[in-house]
Amino acid sequence: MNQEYILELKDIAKVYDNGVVANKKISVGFRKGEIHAIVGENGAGKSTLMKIIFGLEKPTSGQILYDGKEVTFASPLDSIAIGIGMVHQHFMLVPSFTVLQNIVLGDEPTRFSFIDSRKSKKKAEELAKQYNFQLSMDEKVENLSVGMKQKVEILKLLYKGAKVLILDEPTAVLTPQETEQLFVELKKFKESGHTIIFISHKLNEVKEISDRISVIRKGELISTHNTNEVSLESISELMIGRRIEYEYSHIKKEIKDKKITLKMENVTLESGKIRLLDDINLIAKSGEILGVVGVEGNGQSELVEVLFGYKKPTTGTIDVNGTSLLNKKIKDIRDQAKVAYIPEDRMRQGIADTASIAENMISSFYDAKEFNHKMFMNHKAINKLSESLIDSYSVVCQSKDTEIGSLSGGNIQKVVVARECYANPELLIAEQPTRGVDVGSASFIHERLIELRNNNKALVLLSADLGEALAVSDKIIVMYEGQIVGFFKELSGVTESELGLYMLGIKQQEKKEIERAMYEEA
Amino acid sequence: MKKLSNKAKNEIIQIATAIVIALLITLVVLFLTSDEPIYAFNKLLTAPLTNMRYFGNVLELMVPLAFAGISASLLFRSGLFNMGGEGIFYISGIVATVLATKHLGNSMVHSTIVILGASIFGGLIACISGFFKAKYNANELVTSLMLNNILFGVGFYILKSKLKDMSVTGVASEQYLETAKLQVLIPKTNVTTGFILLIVVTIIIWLIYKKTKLGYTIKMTGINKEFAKYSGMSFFALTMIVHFMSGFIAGMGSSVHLMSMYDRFTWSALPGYGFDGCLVAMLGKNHPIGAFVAAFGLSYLRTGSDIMARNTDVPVEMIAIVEMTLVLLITADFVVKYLKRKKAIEGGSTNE
Amino acid sequence: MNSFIALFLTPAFGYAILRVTTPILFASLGNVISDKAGVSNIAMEGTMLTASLAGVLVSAYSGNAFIGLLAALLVGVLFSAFMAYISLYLGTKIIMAGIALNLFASSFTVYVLYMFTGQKGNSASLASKQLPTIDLPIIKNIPVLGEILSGHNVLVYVALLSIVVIYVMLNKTKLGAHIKAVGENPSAAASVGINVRRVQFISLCLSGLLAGFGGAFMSMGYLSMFTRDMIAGRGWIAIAASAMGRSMVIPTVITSFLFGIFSAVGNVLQLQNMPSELITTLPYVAVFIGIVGYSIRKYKKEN
Repeated sequence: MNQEYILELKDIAKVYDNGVVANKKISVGFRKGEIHAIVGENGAGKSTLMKIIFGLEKPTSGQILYDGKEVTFASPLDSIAIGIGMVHQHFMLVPSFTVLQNIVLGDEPTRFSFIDSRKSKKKAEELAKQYNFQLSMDEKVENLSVGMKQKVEILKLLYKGAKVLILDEPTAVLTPQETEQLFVELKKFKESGHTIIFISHKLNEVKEISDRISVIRKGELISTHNTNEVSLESISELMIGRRIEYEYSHIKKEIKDKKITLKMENVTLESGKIRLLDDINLIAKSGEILGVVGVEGNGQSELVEVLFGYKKPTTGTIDVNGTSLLNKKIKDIRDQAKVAYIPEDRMRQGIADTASIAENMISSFYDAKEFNHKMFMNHKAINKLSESLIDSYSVVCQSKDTEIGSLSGGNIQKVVVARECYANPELLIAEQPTRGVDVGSASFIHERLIELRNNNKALVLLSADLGEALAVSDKIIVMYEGQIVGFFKELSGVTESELGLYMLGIKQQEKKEIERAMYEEA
Repeated sequence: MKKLSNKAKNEIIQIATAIVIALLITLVVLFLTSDEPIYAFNKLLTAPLTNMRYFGNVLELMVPLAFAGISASLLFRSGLFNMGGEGIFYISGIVATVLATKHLGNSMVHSTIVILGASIFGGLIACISGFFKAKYNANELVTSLMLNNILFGVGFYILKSKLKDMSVTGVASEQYLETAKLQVLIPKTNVTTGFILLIVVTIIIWLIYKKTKLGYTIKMTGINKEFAKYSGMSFFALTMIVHFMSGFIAGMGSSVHLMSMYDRFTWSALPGYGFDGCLVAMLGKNHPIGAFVAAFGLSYLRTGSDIMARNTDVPVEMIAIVEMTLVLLITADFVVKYLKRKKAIEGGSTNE
Repeated sequence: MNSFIALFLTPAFGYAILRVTTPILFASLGNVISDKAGVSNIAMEGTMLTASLAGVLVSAYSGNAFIGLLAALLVGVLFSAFMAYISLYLGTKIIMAGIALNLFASSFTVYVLYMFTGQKGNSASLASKQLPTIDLPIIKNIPVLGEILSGHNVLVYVALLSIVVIYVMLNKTKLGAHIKAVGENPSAAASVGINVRRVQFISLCLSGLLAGFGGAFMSMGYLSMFTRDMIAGRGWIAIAASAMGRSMVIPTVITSFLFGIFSAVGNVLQLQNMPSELITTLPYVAVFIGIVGYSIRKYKKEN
């Protein structure tokens, strides 16, 4: 028996019903009192592995050992009982409940079958005090900030007696200060003997906080290292495997007659007292791809929402080729201003999953002349277009009539990209266009975006993948707390870590400087 | 094409399974409650085919069911849960009655006016729930249910105070003029030109679904409202159009039914066609031809059970058991799920 | 005019309000529970109808009203459990299942009634029992108040009591916390090991239990027999009441009473030769305006 580990996985494999292999024979041990980071790219299989440890998914094969004994989890209830807890990326909280109600949920202490919160409240308050959490137990969760909600989640686990804490991308939603605070807390947990499994793809954070690092790639555990013995570069290489250097400069054409396509002036978006967008001024020109980067939640999605007519900015103006987008319906933004949009959440916004590929292929221009013949839709033209796009985008499917929901993520995304590019927009907004997409499809999609650029159209690319942003874009702006804090008009020589400093708010360019540079260019 | 035919195959398997199970349950119920179960079962299933009059009953009863079903399916297909067909059937019937008891022209013209009037009125009434849903997102299920009762109250009041024929006992309107009534197609039955109108409407709606932008918009909105919005489709416009069409068809169903089967308006309660329409829409998988077939099937069963009830000791209401079994088994997705899972597991293992 | 107002100032009117509200109260509280769990039970009408028949039949054959009540409750629960099973485990949309079961109940009750009595209209030929009325001690001697509150069918008091019981259940007990958690954020509930489907199943059964009480009251209190389609829209009104009360106990109770008042007003006005058809629409008009008004306010707030 190996008592070195409190939790050990042996040859864990997971094959989903639809044949997707998420984990292949993963073996790894977690020590008592360590912070163990699990790193890997999107879709590498980290989340599935954590769900298995937490009892949300059952492994297809393999063993889980806790304290040296084999355990099986029928549901999270079993893993919680043993002492494993997880903070999910999307918080598992009931908004209308108080902090205390959320903490005791599922295991409410009762007295004469009524919930008796005196003891639990005392216990929770003591725990909060011990770890210096400034939480009021009777506050409703819906009134808390994101950072505070995360504390509630962690307190919930501690309350339930968790010895092993799994944190899934905990910093993705936090401000730098909150992140810093979280790290202080995590170290405290470690000292008090807890094991922390920290999932992330932000390597600098991992390097800062963890004791050991395990790298997962394409469902396999590549290796485990002591953090102080490896460099960020080598971890990054392990994560990506054969490092894919996106390199597109050779296919980017020199554009002569560039013009200003998108112009946003003094755009502000307020929600209550919070400024989600704070005086945004920007210009996007035809024949260029403007990259927008930032830590999630710093105003990038709101930028898209005001651009595409989902939200009305509180103040400011937005023009595309001289046409104002304010107070325009999405239909008019698409048809009159000729804006197209590749949405981040393709399943929710980008497709109708039980409709056919052909039906999804034309949704953005279904009423265009070329697809209609008097009263009726011209199915001949629709089918012809669908087939040709399926062909030129190499969408892997049985036929144009296949239900789109049955395709893989990469192929669905190709349909969305094909459609939005076919609309031949003056401005294309591409939001995380290659998220969760395999490498081959990703570079294919990049090439299509560049093709549009070469046809002298303007593109705005929002990406969490800095490698992608640097390789595909011509210029980049960095957003931080709803503002533009950096503008790079020349990307050669700009590194990911340089961008990172701006994203974290450590470095900022003068606002006037940014605007001057942007306009000067124009 | 292969994928699609697979889906169709699954549905056929499911519907066949549902019918077999429903018939088995019927048989069990009959054995438990009747002295002559086999005879009753036989009557139920075959009697409507034994003479033209019975078959005519099947056809004449299916007309309002099919209209109501198509009306409901339009809403369901767009993702709207409105059950206002019930009230519209009633109030449009009142409108039809007002028009049908006045001299408004010769046969063709008069009946056209009656049906158009009732249909347009039905469409406008449906737009009440539609408007509040489209503009303010008021729960259309609740508002339409409330409207059912309000429309009935108002309609019944009009019937009693304005339309009642004082020379007859009970609540009934004056007699419909012959010019308002629809022409009989099959002698000795009430199968009228209204049946042809039903076929036309079924085909038109089918064409709309299959061939037009409107049909496309309905389908996309029904599957994913968020996607429809992103694509630039107007939820407001669609909701209004679909509600109008749905009410229009319900009103048409009501007036066609009255002008085929009745001499006076005598409904002193909601007629039930609105809710039956929901059933038909479900059975027909929100497709007009599906609704047409489902209405025929339902009407066949009801006619059969009616004949059975007259000839045996089994009451006609027994058919509710068959209907419910059919609806629940056809709307459940467990058969499809089972087939899909089986396929996925097989597919998964061959991938290894 | 004064004499007109006087019609509503009688103790009998207050008494009538309680009586008329009782079945709606049961059903709307049932809806509150299922709505809280995120499953809408629109089969209230059919559940109550089936339960009311079960109560009559069993009380007639057992000779005991309380055994009849138990049967009504049991049938209410089974009816809802059936719907819950079909929608939660077999995948029929719950609204569809609800519509189908309402239609089913409407015919099926007549079928069963006919099997037992040979009649299709009502159960007058059966010697079914009525649940007893209760005189409240002390209160019955208070003028006016006593006349309003005392002497009701036992289920009227059960209905009033169930307001408290359900409020406490939802807000003070473990089950209540789980029901609300499941309705509000099912994945959060699942993440702490709550079986979401089971909680929803239980909620639907509880709503069926309340519908059972409502049904029993209709056939063994409000009337003394079963009549065809005797629920007459009360189940739908209950759905509307809980929708207007936004699934919260107190507002839903208030809405239910508003309904009761409108119905009682209607009943009084009918006796005054007012057009009864129009007056019976009053409660529906009230809910319609209420729902639309609420939506408009919400819309204005958001925009």
